[in-house]
Amino acid sequence: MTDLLAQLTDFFSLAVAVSVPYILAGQSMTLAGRTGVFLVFNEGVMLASASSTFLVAYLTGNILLGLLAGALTGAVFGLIMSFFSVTLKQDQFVVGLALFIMGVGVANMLYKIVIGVVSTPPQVPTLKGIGIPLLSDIPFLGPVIFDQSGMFYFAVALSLALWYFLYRTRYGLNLRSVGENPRVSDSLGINVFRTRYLATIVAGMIMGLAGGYLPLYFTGTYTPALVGGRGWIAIALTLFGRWSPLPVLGGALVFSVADVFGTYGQILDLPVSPYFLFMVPFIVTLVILVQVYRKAELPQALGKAYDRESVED
Amino acid sequence: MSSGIKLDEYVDKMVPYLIGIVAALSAAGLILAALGKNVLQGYATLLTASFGSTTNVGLLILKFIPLLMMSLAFSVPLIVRKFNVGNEGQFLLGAIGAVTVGLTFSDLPGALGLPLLLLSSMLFGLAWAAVPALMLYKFRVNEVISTILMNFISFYLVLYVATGSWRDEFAGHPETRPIPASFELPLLSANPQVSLGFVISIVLPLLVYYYVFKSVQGYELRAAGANDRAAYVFGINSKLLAPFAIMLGGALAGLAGGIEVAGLQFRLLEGMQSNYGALSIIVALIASGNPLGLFLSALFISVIEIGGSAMKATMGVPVETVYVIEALLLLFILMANVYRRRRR
Repeated sequence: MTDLLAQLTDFFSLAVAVSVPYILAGQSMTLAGRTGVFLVFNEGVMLASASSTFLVAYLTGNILLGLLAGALTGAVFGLIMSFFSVTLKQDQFVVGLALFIMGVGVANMLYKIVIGVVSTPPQVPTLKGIGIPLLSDIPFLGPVIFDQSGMFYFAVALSLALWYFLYRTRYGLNLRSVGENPRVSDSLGINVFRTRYLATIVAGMIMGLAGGYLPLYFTGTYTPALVGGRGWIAIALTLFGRWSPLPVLGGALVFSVADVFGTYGQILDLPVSPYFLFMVPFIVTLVILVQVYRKAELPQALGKAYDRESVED
Repeated sequence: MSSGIKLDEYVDKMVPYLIGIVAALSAAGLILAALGKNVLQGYATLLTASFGSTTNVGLLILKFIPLLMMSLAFSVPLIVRKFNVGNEGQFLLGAIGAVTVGLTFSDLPGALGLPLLLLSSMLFGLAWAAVPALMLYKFRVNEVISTILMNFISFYLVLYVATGSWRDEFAGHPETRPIPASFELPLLSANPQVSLGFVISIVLPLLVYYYVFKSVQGYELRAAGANDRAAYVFGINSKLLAPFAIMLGGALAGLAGGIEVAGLQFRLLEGMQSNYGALSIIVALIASGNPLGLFLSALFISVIEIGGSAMKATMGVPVETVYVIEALLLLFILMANVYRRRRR
């Protein structure tokens, strides 16, 4: 019995650690989506930020500077995204796909320029769990929730702060109105373009932190497969969480349990090929998507460029 | 309408592409300069590597074939404004479908086996695309996410098949045994190795062009893509057309995988999809999904890709650099098109 408890504790503490990039990427999409900008560049931006975070952490030996570099990388992508979708009014999926590809290219190009092709990949120090006094001594919940890295606490705090901002402040109300009906917001004196730009750039920074976490937590190394579909799954998570910070925070755990099951399921010694276990997170996500779309609730202006001079609405 | 005006129109339409190419190549020069490489040598390599020798032309054609077909698989659903980002997985399923026939019915004569192999690859690709198509039809699930998720599942399916009972025990890499020689596509040229797949890949965009722009159903597809509600009002079943177009794209991507097996690899190979998925998105979006435009954009991207490999070999420039250039090319063309429209 104690053996089972120990296994479950390990499993769930891993799942909570894995949830960090999902939480951050989901909140990033929520923030931009609430202004009407649908982010699909996640996978590429996360990889570019993972690369820049790793490289800066490697060159300076400082993890925080690395994460800062990751956030800045994401901000640049957010800026390009808003220029093309808000100013040039281009299709958000087209621009998002172009930036996804660019992100993958930038990530691997930077790594090869700085590190080159080496047989043993260099490593950076990884994030360590910060045990919260007393709470971390609670059986099961202690190690699972209260002995995580600072990034987990940051991701939870950010989710709560985003919820407060969106639903309890006037700025948040204005921001959400831009995503529902930009024309009305405009007529009320809200600067639609500035709101979308700011939200998308900040969303890019959060996405950058989601990517930056990956090399720092798991292996301390960078590989091109580091993101491994988590950026795309984050889109499903955000739809699942109905573009709201708290459901996204909770939903992240569902997706991370599937993630851990796929990656570490072999330990369970199940009588199936490990390749089928690797499929689990993606199959689970597909099934969840069907459920989500049955009762889809999206910001009304999501994905649509706002044109002040257009007459149709 | 006189032909002079028409020529003006073409020139006007080409200008954004030229601006895009110049801007992207300038960015390439800046990157090379920042890396401390010889910029002129870089340009020379990038643009001439494909045509230096018959071997290089062969390499160019081998890149061009899957790229053209994959971008066609992306373009058909694009007509109804659907993004078939899953063409990568459909390609792999096509390859699985090809070796399934090649290794199961190896006793069949080639005259029967090869067509069956190609048909199987189309059906496998179509079936893989049918999952997101059905999810779109029944539950309106966004196809970008569902098709991408299907890609990831396909990667592991390839590993499962390539390490299963069909595995080539002597290969260090996950791959199946080869299909019988009689199932291979006939060669047009042995050196460079160019198969009949080249002809198929060139004929298909022409057929699709005819279908999209000259047939009634093609008209309905375009109408649904332009404004699905208006199309519905005029009696076009736009709800059914989008899933249909995605499945057609799946069959084309599957065939691309089948041709890659029967014309080049002769087996299922882990990683055989290379980066065709991502590149085909760029190729198709540059051509705005026009099947005839794909010829030029697929050729240009193939030239850049071959040039990138050459730059890596001779100048030590990371191959991923051309990836960035290609994405920039698309973004610059989008930008130039906006300013062309605004000027009017």
